[in-house]
Amino acid sequence: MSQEVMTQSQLATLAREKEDLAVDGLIVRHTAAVRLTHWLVAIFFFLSLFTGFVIFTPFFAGWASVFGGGPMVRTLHPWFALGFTIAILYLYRYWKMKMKKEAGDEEWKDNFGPYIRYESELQNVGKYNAGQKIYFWAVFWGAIAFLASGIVMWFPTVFPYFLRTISYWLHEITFVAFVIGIIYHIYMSTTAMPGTFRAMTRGTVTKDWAKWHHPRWYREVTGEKK
Amino acid sequence: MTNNWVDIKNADVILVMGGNPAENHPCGFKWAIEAKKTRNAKLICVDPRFNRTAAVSDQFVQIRSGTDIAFLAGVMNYMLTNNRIHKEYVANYTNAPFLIKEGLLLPGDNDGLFSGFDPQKRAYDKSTWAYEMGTDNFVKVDMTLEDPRCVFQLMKKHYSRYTAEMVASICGCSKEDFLKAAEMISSTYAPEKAGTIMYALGWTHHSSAVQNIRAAASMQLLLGNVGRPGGGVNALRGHSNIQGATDMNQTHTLPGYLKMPKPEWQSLKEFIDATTPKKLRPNSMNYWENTDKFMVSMLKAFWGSAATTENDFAYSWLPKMDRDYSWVYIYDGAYNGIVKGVFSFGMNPVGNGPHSKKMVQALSRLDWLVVAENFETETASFWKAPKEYDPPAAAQIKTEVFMLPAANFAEKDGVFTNSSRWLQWKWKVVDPPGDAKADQEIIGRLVLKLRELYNKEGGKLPDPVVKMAWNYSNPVSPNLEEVAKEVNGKVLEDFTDEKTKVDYKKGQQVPGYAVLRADGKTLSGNWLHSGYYTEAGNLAMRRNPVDDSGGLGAYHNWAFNWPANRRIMYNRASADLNGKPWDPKRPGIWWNGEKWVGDVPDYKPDYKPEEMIGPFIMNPEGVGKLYAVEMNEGPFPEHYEPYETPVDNPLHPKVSSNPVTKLFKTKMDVYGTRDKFPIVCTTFRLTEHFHYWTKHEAILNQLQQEFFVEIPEELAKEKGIKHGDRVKVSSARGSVEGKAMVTKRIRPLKVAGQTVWQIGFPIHWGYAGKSVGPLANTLTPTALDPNSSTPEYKAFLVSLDKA
Amino acid sequence: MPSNMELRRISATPSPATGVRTAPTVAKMIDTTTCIGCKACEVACQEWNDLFNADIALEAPSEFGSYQTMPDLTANFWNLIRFNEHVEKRPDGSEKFHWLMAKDQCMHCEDPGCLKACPAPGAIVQYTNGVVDFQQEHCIGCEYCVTGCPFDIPRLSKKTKKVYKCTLCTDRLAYGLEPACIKACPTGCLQFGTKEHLVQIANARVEQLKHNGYEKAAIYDPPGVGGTGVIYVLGLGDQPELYGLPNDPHVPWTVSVWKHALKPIGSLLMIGALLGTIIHYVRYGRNEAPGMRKVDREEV
Repeated sequence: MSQEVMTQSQLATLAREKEDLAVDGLIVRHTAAVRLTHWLVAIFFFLSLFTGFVIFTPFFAGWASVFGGGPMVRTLHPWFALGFTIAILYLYRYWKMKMKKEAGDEEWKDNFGPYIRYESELQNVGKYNAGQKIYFWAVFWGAIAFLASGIVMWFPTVFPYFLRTISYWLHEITFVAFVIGIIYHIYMSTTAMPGTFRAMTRGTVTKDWAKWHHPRWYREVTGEKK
Repeated sequence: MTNNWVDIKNADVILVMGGNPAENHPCGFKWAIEAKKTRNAKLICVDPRFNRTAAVSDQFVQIRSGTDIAFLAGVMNYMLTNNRIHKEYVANYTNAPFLIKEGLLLPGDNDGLFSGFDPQKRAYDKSTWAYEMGTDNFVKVDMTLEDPRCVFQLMKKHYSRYTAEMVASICGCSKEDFLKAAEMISSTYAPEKAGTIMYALGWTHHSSAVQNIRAAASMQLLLGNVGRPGGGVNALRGHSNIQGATDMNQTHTLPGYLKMPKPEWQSLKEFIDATTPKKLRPNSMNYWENTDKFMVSMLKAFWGSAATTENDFAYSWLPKMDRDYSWVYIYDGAYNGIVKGVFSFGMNPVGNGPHSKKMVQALSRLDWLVVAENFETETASFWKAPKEYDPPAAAQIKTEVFMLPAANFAEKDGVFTNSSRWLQWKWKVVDPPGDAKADQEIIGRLVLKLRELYNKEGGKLPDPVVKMAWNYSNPVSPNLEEVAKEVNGKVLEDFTDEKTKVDYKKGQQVPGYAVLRADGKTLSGNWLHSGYYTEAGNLAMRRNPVDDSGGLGAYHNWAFNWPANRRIMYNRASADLNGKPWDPKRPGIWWNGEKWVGDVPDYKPDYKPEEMIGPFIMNPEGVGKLYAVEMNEGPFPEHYEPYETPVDNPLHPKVSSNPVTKLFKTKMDVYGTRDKFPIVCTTFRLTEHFHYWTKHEAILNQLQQEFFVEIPEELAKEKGIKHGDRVKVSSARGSVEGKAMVTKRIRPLKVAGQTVWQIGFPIHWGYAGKSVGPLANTLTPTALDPNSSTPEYKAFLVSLDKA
Repeated sequence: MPSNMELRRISATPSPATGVRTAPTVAKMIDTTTCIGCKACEVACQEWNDLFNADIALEAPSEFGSYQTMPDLTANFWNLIRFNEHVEKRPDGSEKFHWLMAKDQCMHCEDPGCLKACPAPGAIVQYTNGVVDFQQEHCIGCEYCVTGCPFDIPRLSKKTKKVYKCTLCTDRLAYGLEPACIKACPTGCLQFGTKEHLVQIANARVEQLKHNGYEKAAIYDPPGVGGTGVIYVLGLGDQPELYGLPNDPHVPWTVSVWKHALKPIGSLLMIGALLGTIIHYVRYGRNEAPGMRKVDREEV
């Protein structure tokens, strides 16, 4: 076996258990557990999303047949959503410390315009930039809002009328926010920023990618100086 | 009903009292609503409870149960003192001008009793009540109504004691409510106005039952409301065919209200002489003069060719009633071991009868009991009555019980006679399930078997059964149309009617009771129904929906209305002395110069107005009776307290209750007193259920799910009872438990200065069926009206506790 | 749907309704002043619709003891007479007792809140004659209609997970018959016909009542929902709540805003977000780390 193959195999093993580890030209960004949890979140999110769309607007009524019809959609949606909520809680367990505010976040926010124009050259960006953190917390609180309003909508007649109507609104607004969020989440992690998506598949990113998008993290992991 | 259901729509004022038609006759009650909507009629509801009828009434007066006579007498006093009576009608169409013999004492002058009371016998010697007869053998009259001995003056005096204050004190209502109601009711005294009364068991279930109705009739006569469209005294019958059952026979009458023979009338002649009334006025038609024709035709229907002139038309085969054989007495007889066997067809005595525990005991002492029913009723299963009814141990009951499954009303053809006296044919809808048989088949098989046994074994008196006319094409299960033809009557031998010169041929159906004969040439099972199955066919099947009475709703071609298809009885009284309708817009019959036209006249069609023949042709007086000697407790209605009463009678405390109430003497016949049982209790029925029958039916059980007790809010508060709590109601005879329904619909009453509480509960439950509950009659007393022998189901004393 | 009845409105359906044939708006009139609470309408409803044994009666027969059959409507009890005892304080200081009875069922609103709230295409329809009907085969059981209804009528069946209510007997109307409750009513307090005609009858009755001591008698035909296909004559017309009817019902504004504002705005925002990514990509392209190999880019 060549040296290269050995390294890949070792790397895969390592990436299952440890992150923030630099090997050759790659850095382990997410452990297997985190990736798995993220994908669970994603799967349940999309199942909820597509069943939700059926109820949200008659333009997607046809999708109901994918799930076995309208009544099945009504039955499954809350259970998908419950899966989403649980997965989110696991993600929260992994990421609640990592998503804490730290030095450099304010600077990032101030630099948001240049960032989206690809003009930002900030060096004090850690493993997660402020935007990612905001996104994470938004998803977390959004999931709570979904859950709270969703339970009311699951069993509407158990709850007083005003709670019911509040829930409909809350669920609706959260839904729109989530859809907008997911569009950008996917766009940024695939098309807009090549080399990102593999962090959620293989768990690794290239050193070049890390150095470019998360310079401080790169330095921390590799021990390189500025 | 003197009138009919549809005619209620012609009323200007509707008094609902002693009945709750919105609850119990919702379909007929539509005509009251119709009157309210189209004529702006006023509906007055007088009842112990604010009931469903009260909910749509214009004026509601709450009274204590059993004080109806006081109320009605008060209204009459109000009318007499305020001159709100129909003078011309009263003078000419009632016995107001009739003179009464010297010697009559009224209760006001005699400590609450009429003259002639024998306390030992608990009965009246009525000789002092009689009319003053003239030398011409007719009653003396004073058409000025001024003579102090005339009925009118006596009546005025008698009712004068029922002042508004006295009524309020007896009934427990407010004086203002009473006066408002009296004003509304009496507004129909104007000749062009008509008012009706709708009543039912709320009047008949009392120890002064018949007098309640007499009071109502008197009031309607004073107002000139009897015999007119929109008027009358209208009994709302409780079963779809109870009118037919009453017409056909009761224990004290034969079909068509012919009297039941007594032991002292051993021959037909004695019977006819005793039961045919004599004219009391020269201008009285006295239609009961035809009693012999009706009786002989009936005997011919019973025994056919075995009834001959030689054997008095088999009169001797009729039972002779030596005592009261009415309903409660049958079971008292069973309790006392006199009655050995009972056939109970479509009847549930354990449920219906007063004092359920005594009923269970009574049935336990029979040798045999045959129950023909749709369901296994309380009666059929009396031997497994729950322990609350103190039944004897099942092993000790010797009664042999036969349960015959019987077809219900929809599973057989036949005729229903409704409250309007309409004979309406009905057709079978479905076959009876399983072994169930129609009544005529059960009876047919019994008849044939009994004959077989009599023929084989002989017996003391086989003839009435063996020689009975049973000439049906299928003797096992007679075709009811054949029976109907027999009831109507047919010609047995050719004859020519002496008056009309019409020939009648053998085998022909008689056209009506007018051609029935006393010589045995006709037969008719019931003269009153005669005319319903003539040569023109079965008129009870007619369903012509065209109103031929100009909007008055007579519908003469709908079914057959006994007597003689007459829609309003006594309708001669709907026109004035000259034969002109009191109200031209609502004519009953009128004189067109040659004859009476309009409704079928209750009168000879060619009697000229100037002949002044009395309009009440069935009364020997020829007029309506404000004063009736026939009554057992007095010729005028007098307020007597219910047998169990919370107060002494404010009019005469020494004679509180009806002095001639029929009571029973076994050790179970106990009566409560106000110290132990201070609360007045009444029973009632619910729209959702029908007697003890519908508790076998799931969808109706759903509508009223369980037995409940209606309790006034204030009493509930006093007793610490909340809506939905379980309560126990006890009388001297037993107790029942059920859910409390705390309501504003019964208010506390101020009676004779003290607060009297009233509660009530529905009947309808029992221990048989899908929805079980207590039998209401566990609590009711064995105290009967002295005239009709109806038990006092609607007013008795109880105590109330939280269970 | 009966074949000879056409649709005016269909829930959650972008395409137009089917009806081009016109039909007069039909209505049911309930004259509470002549209602005797006999429940013939309840039985007729149960029998015609084969709804034997309603849930509450079966589940908890001892929970209720009153003249009112049940505390409330259920998925298999669509027609309930409500009984209420009320003491009226008269202007002259006296008190008048009323035992009020009013039939409760779907009101068949001109502007039905249930239909507005319903997300399932075709689950709630309104026929050209104004009758609002649930088509259970399209119902998804979300109960949005329960929230949308200002009269609190639709009920979810635990068994089928679908909502039910009075259909105004569309299966009878289609064949020229009146609804079963009307047919059964013995006093004529229930009447059926064109709304125009019934409003006339109701007006005449209200005038009569006003002369008979019901000064506040009125018709109940609430304009907040565009009028209803069930109109009442109320003796105490100023207090419909005594009869179990809301005083001034509207399709809840929360439902209207939700359906008419939140949803379109939200949809636009979502579409906008999608467009945003495209515009961004076109304008700025990729943000690629310098030195990335082609293989790094494409590896997933």
